[in-house]
Amino acid sequence: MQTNSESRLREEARKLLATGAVEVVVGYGRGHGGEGVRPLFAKSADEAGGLVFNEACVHNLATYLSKEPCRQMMLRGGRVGIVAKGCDARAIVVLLQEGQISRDGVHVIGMVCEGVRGAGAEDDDKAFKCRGCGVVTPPLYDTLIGDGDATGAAPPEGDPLEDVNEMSSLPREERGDFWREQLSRCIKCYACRQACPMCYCETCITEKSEPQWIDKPSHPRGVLAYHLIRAMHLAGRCVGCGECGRACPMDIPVDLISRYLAAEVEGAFDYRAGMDPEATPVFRTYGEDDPGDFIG
Amino acid sequence: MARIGVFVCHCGSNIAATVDVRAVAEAASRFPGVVHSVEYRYMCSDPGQKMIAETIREKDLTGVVVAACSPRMHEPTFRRLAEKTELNPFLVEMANIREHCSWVHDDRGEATAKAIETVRMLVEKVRRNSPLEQIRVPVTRRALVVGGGIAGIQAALDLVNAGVETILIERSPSIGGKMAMLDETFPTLDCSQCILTPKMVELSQHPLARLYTYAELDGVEGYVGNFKVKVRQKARSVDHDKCTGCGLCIEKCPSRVPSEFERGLADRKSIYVPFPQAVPDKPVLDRETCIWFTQGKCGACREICPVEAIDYEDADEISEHEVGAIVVATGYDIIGRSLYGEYGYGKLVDVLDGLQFERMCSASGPTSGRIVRPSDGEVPKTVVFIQCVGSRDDSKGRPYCSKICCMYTAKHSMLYKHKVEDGKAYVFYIDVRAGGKGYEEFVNRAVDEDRVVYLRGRVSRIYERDGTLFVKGADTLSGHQIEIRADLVVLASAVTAAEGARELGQKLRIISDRYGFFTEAHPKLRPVETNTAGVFLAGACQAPRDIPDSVSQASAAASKVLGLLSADELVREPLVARVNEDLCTGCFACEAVCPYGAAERVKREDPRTGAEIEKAYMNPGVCEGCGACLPVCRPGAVDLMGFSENQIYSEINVLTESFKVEDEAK
Amino acid sequence: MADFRPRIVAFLCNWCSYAGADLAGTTRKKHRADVRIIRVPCSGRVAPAMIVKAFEKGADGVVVGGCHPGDCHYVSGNYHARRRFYTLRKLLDFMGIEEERFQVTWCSAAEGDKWAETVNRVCDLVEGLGPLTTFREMGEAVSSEMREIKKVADE
Repeated sequence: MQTNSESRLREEARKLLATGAVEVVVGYGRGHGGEGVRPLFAKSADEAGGLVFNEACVHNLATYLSKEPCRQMMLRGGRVGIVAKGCDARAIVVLLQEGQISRDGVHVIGMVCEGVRGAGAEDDDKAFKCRGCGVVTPPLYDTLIGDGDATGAAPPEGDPLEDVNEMSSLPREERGDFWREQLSRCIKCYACRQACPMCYCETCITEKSEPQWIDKPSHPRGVLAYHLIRAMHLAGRCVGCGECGRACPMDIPVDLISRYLAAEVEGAFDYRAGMDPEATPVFRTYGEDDPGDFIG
Repeated sequence: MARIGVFVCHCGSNIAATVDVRAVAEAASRFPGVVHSVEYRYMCSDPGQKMIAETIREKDLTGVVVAACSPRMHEPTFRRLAEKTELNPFLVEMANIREHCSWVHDDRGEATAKAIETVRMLVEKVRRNSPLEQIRVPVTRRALVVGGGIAGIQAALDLVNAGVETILIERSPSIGGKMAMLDETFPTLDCSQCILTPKMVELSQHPLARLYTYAELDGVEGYVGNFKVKVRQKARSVDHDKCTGCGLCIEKCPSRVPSEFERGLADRKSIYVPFPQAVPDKPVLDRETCIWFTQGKCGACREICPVEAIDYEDADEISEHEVGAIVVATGYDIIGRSLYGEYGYGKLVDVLDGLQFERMCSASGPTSGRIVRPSDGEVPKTVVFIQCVGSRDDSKGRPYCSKICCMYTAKHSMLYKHKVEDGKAYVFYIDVRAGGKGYEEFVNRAVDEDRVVYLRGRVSRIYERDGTLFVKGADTLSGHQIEIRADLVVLASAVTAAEGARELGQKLRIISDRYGFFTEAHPKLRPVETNTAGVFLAGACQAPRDIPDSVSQASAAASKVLGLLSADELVREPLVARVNEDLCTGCFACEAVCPYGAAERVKREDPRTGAEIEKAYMNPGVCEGCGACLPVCRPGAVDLMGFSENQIYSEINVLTESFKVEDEAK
Repeated sequence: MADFRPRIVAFLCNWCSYAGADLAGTTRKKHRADVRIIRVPCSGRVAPAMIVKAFEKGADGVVVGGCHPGDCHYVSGNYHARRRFYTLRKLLDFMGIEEERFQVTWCSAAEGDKWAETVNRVCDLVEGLGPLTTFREMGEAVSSEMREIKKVADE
């Protein structure tokens, strides 16, 4: 990681808090017992001293913007500062497109990022999603920490879709077996939903009883429907942060599903979520030349 | 508690021959919620309907399923029947066991099983129907017509003569449109101005008509019956109340620019009246070419005006009006001469387009009605007319036929021959399309009486040498390449939508096709309506069209408007979308996908913070009930009456339950 | 699969495909009886949750019928549907469900013949694929991990 990014980050956060430009800076702090990192809500210049930025900063903090504690804070008129890597900033762009936050309600501290560690990875093992990353410099920011061009920040090499492609190149039956096995462990804890910044609906479709499109019990038969519908709700909105897979307590790689669909959507409709706040979200519009060979 | 009545129709033998209707009625009697289930020969007949009505009353039914033909056939019949009883008409559904069942399956067992399942589905659906009341929307009894050509004028006249106050907006300084530019019109060769001017005057003098010329539509809000429109009166710089139309300002004005009305064949002044019969016949000042406004010098018109009507301080004025319906009559244009390099890119001075030739024929035109070559003023002895310039051309032009060119080319050739008796007229054509009343006879006059020579073939090139135009073309009927040395060439250029039509359409939320022509609601059955309720089309803005058809269509549009405005309230089907604000997240995906603009943003107070937030509201006066908003609403906040989430879920649920029964039976 | 009768649910739009199916009836164009029709106002009304629910509840195939592009009675519903359903098919395939089980057809009110042919084609196709067992198998699946845990618990 960039050597002086952390100190510049703390300086920026202190300034924002001391001048009252923001009520809180949402960032990363040292983890419990000194291991790893965890989200930190710095409310004073003092607390801002605890902010860190390193390869362990996997979390997509944007999820705190569309949900509590920041949602109510911003509704009350408070401004929120947020530390955002490229993938996180993409999530912020989607939230802006969907009217969930206002542009002047957030101060985005964009971090040039060379990749974060994958789940359960060794020291140098970066997450799949970081390979060949196209948003080393976040697509949206108010302040940028770390200069991509000058210091030659580069993401790990490789194909960010390698794991997705591996899955999709398997014969369909094998894929079916894989997902049947994996989803049989799903306990419907909804951690994947809670971790995702894009799942902000206060009353989610899973809560609906009239009608109950998604079975409520954690009985496996209804579990597949949950994942299918969630994937469709995220189609064209998933920014590939991988938090859902990381959050799953049963180690089900649910992020594969949405990242696969995101790649399909990009290929078919030339749309990548979270790159341009002015763009029309892909499923709010259509193309007269959209692929239709499958239609009889 | 549900008390559903099921009525299974034999439809004579149409259903009963294949489906065991008694078994269906019997099975239905055991469905949860069903308290009455019978079969009868003809449900839609008088005795059939009477039976249903009586049963509704006797058994205090809360819902009715008629298992019979397609709901597209008789749903209105049975809903109308319910209106006469205590049962809300929207608690009546039909199970299609004829078109989708008895008429398409042979096996009695299969067909009966399918009929039973279908009835079960509709019983479950109707249990979740809500009683709905028709939506009433107040209507403003005033109309707006955009465009002052013959179509706009006709529509406006029909409306004001029917007692409806009508506002007409025209962006040029006078009404009249293209028809005012024409000399003689086909198929009668009567004078265009002579038949047009009385209508123009009638309209301008009618007490219920408000004309805004040199004005544009600035903005439109609202919906059918309740539009709020903003009209921008562009600054004329001439006070029409004071102006007497004496014309001294025009005489004195030193600035000359090409006249739009004369299509560049003559000039006008910067302060001008577009043509002698203009309505209003008072001038406007074109600030873009006026020396005072561009250079700060001159001011001659203001000095000379005897009544001090010239006002350089005049500014655009915006007025707001409430109207119930809008007629779009923005007309057409032609693409001109510059599309084809083969025809000189518009640089050959003696190659004209159809409208230019029209002006030349006109007695009040740039040449006082004499046909002369623009290059040297000589009378042309050989004139070549070329049809289909830019029409029926997939590669460079438009694929469509411009409809009027065959007729006006025949007319032009005849007008030429009437004025230059010893002249030679040639027409290059691919087809001659003369489908209207008297049209074929008209074209034959050109050939038989006026001895116009028709050559079937295209012109590959026109070039000029020593003042003569060489026209190289093919005569496919004789099989020869030919070259004609012409003095003048007239191109029948393709008809296009008027400039700015698409942008105007966007303001009105109506669709235009890729050529800018507005799209009608249905090409055969709804030619004057658009996809936006309350906005209608008249004339060539919809497609190339001649005067008789434009006038017909204008009257048709006016009759639609009169129908709309005939009652104080507009009654609409209540099968519309409704938002549950508690679930709405304010993402407004619904707003993005709604083709009618029915989604509105309403301000609400967030209960926990007191902050002002926005929620979606679907305007029942605008919503057409397509349900496109439902799949994009992730929390399921919006529902659609008549095809609601619960209803469709229950239909799926029931069907697949019977699959399970089949499974267990095995 | 000698005894297998495919169960197909079709969501047909009121203005085009449902009317097309009516026309098949009016012209007595016979076809297979395995399809059950649910009327919707527009193909754009059909949400992925409806398709998934139908499969979950036992349908072996699902059809959505809409108007031809450019002809939608409600202007653009079918365009939105096309984009959405392309994506849903890719998802189904990724999760191991044959995407051909979910068929979309543009069938106008004038195409009674086409509807009859479509019914036969889809029924034959789904019959060839066999019953959709994914959801049922999910209902019975217990992962190997859980089996291990159960084994240990039982001992």
